[in-house]
Amino acid sequence: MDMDMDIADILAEVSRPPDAGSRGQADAFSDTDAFTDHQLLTRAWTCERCAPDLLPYPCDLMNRVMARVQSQVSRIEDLASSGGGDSGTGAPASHALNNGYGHPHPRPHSHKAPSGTQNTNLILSILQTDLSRTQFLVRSFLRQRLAKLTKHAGWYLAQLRLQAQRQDAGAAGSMSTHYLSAAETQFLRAHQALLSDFYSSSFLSAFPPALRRLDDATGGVPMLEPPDAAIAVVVRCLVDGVWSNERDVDLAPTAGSETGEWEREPATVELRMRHGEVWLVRWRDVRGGVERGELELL
Amino acid sequence: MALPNPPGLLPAEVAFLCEMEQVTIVPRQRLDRLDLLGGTTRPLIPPQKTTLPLWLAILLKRQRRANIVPPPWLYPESLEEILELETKHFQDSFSLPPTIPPTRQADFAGKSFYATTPFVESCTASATPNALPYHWYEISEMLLEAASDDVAQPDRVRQLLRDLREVRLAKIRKEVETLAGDGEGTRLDGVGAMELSESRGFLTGVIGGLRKIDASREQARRDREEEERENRRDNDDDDDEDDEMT
Repeated sequence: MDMDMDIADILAEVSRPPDAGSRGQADAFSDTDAFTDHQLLTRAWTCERCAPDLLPYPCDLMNRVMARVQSQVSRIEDLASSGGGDSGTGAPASHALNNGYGHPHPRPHSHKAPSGTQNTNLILSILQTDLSRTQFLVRSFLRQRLAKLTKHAGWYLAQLRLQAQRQDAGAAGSMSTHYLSAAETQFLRAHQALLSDFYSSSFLSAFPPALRRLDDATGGVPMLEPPDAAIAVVVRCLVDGVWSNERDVDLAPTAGSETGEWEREPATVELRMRHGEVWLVRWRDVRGGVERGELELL
Repeated sequence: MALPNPPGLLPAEVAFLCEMEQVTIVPRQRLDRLDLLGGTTRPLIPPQKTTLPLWLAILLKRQRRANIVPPPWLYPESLEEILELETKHFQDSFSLPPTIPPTRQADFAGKSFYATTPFVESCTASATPNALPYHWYEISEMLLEAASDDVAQPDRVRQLLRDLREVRLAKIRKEVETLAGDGEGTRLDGVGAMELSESRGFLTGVIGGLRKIDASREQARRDREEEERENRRDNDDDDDEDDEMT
């Protein structure tokens, strides 16, 4: 039994995906990574739930978390199917060979487990609870983003178009922030296409052609409504020392178009806060700090 | 599909967040380390104290596999002291939260970030005894519900917690007088997560309303500030640097 596991260990090492190794980190997907990713996911969820606007999509983080969720699901399945009776927690170890992610600890519950049905059941229920909690975070995070996307669909689409134009012009480069994931972009396009088809077939076609546009901006009142940037939010200052939003205030409204950023209302009120302070302020004045991870939304 | 909830955490979500706080437990049985998605747990070896996330501690407690050591501030004497602070020394603001030194951690790509609640220890047995942490209300409710036999004098503790809650809620309500629509911000240091969740709609609503009333005056002020900033930038840059030094 013991020897089997060791071989499994070695094989698991070898079968690690090449990209994990090429990161130059031997401890890719180690337990500290799981913990830091958990912290970052929790922060991303809280901020997304509290912000009136979409925050940049944490692509790498979500990929890592989803990979870990996948391997955890199959680990739980193996553990459950290996029959709660024996001490056979070796199943997850051999499993590490099959999944592409090469879980770092193929011996989750050690060989000398006191075990018995009860302990396996306990471990199973702990693993399942932990899994459900992470799944809830991911689900709530994504659904919150969908809610914002559908609410301001026209505006976000217009932003995407602008960004594409700038990239064509070569101004943006690869440095521009990605606010949407590929799937979200696809969803947004399909959603808006369906919606405008429906509108035009049900009532817009009865209007005179000049009044059919959904993104009309004549008369100085644009139909596309951006998220309210002046809404009040609560932030806590995380940085050591004094935080100030000077550079966000100084950012001229036109500066965004050069860097390929989205059109954002700039900060208008200068704020200064110290580590640990909690402030009730306007979103536009602190958005820069939140996106840079200097402040957190509460 | 899309989540229809308004911005800001709901009370249930605040409780969910609070369940990630670390607490100290005394295990009653052995359990090997577990690789959870939320991080690896330390092996449980009775009777060695160790720390676990609250949700796991409560799961073990309900099955009588562990005892929870309540945080030092959840004792009648500490709560009495905090109540005293809250009523006598901090009449207009919340009593000071525990000081948490800024801790940087590196993420997967090596980029550093600041650790924060609920991942900094403020509810373990080594927490500050005379300060209420961010999740004080939820964690004490959950501990009293699931592990009241581990809490000293649970009835007295419940009573003191209720007193504290009333005092602090009154302060939040008083805070309305200082709210303004000008965007200068209002300090809410030491506020609790649940208190914020309850009052968020009210506070942001008041600010939104005041903002609409004040809109024209603010526009004038913003123009003036813009002018001043332009002047300052033109004058000299040395001044700016001095500002930042102080």
